[in-house]
Amino acid sequence: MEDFRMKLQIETKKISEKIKNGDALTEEDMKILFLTSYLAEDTNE
Amino acid sequence: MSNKPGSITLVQLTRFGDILQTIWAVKDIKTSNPDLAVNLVVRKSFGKPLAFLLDKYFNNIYYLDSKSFIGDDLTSGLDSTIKEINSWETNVLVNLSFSKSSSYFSSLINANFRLGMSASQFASDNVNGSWSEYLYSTVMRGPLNSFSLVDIFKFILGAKNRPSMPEKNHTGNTLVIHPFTSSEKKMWSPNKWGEIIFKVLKNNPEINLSIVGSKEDSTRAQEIIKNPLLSDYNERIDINCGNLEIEELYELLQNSFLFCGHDSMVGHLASLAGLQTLTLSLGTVRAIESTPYGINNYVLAPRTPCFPCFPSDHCADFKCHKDLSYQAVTECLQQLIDTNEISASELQKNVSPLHLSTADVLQSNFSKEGLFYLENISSNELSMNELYRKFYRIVWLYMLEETEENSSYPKLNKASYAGLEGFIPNLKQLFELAEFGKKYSRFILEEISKDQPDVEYIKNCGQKIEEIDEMQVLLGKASPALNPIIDFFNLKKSKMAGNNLVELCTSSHEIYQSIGSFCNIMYELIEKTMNEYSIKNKKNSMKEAKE
Repeated sequence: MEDFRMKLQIETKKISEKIKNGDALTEEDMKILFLTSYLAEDTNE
Repeated sequence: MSNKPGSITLVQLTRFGDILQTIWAVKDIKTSNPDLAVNLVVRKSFGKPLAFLLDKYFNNIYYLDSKSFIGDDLTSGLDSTIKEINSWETNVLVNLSFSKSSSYFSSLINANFRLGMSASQFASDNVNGSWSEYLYSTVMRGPLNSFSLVDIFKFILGAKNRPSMPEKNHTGNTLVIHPFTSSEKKMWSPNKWGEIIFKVLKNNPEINLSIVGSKEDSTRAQEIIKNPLLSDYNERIDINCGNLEIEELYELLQNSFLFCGHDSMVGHLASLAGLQTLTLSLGTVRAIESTPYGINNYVLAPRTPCFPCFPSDHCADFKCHKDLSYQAVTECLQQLIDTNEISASELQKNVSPLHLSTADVLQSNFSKEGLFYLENISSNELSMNELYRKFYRIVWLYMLEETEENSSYPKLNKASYAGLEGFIPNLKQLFELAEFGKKYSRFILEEISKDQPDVEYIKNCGQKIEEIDEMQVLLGKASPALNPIIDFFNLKKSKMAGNNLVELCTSSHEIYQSIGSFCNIMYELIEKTMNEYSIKNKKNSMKEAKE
């Protein structure tokens, strides 16, 4: 689980850079963003 | 050939209460469109316990489970989820939850049309559909929403029929109490609840009481029944905290005669089970949004003037908790036990004005058009927010649904008349800003249509439009009652359609035109209401002079 979250974090950082640069996101990027936010919300619930 | 969609997939990733309110909306859309397939995506933790209800109303249900997403590969777990959901036929995807995850998720599902929030390819949120825009801009941001969340969901889904209500159950001798919520701000102290329970059990020897809640509520439940007043009544109190599945709780509610508690999912479950409810609405709760859907449900809401109250706001003394008196609550409960309704005259007879004047007693009902509303039965004097909500309700219905709800002019008093007098100049100012916005959008369009357009002139006009938008935001800060209009149209502006300057300016012109129309209708309503009040006042003073 921790390993998975760590990998997600690394990928999310890369995507944040893309967003900052105004690059269009791919479907894979959307999946990563979904997983990051979903797992964070799940933990908060 | 019918244009109606054959199947809808709803994304509802929020908590129990929102899922139950979604069920109400789907119940009604299914009544008018029995052949429509409605699918649902929910979180497993909130959806599974409600599966016994969801199975009745949804064709396909997907329970999102965090565990299934975790694997060696980052997205393979999610891929199989998406694959399964995409195997359903989805004509329209409706995201009813406004969270980041639901926004990304909606963008990953195949659908012909999308409503609600979904992420764009640049990770910004797109909100599609006027009622979704309303939900996003008004409900999420302030206290001036005029509609039940169920009705907003129904508007988003396009359901127009009157709701079908289960028969109210007034049999059995169990009163179900849920004196808990997720936040300290929204619940009374155990001590106060102990006093209420004592009074009910003492005056009604035939009644038994069930305190329901989650495992986490057990300690608080014990605190309540440890109240020395209740030592002789413990045998008649059943504590069900954490020991019942939601389905068992639903059965308990079906076999009970009345529910009383704070704003929570149990109230919604009770109303679905056909039980009458009395909600003590404290803190951040906005009664119109979350009162259990149904006829003759009641709410006790303090008139504490510190609204808006947001979950993040610090509150040291919970004044609203004190403004809801023990006397008012026990009287309302007793009337519901005796007659299944609360009578305003009995209330005034049995509760002193001191204890009644700080809270409103609201009764739920449906208008002829099938829309949920709350009527204040304890007082004719509307607060400013109640007044604004009444006006907004009329204008939103007209602007977004082209519907007119038959309702009388709100009653004013000296203070609310003065409040509206203060509001009108700000409303006029917003109208004038919209007129300027229209003017500059038109100037740009006229300039573009020339053979040799002056680019500098177009830039200046564009800057003026930016200034107008900034001034609208400032005006909203000075007069928060204008924010529903400003926020809604700002959201519209942020997603203006157009592939070129002409199309963008045409959209911009249309939006300013809509703001102007909105202000106009609102102004007329307020002016007529104020005139009614002035005429009545004059008549009264002439009558007094004659006497």
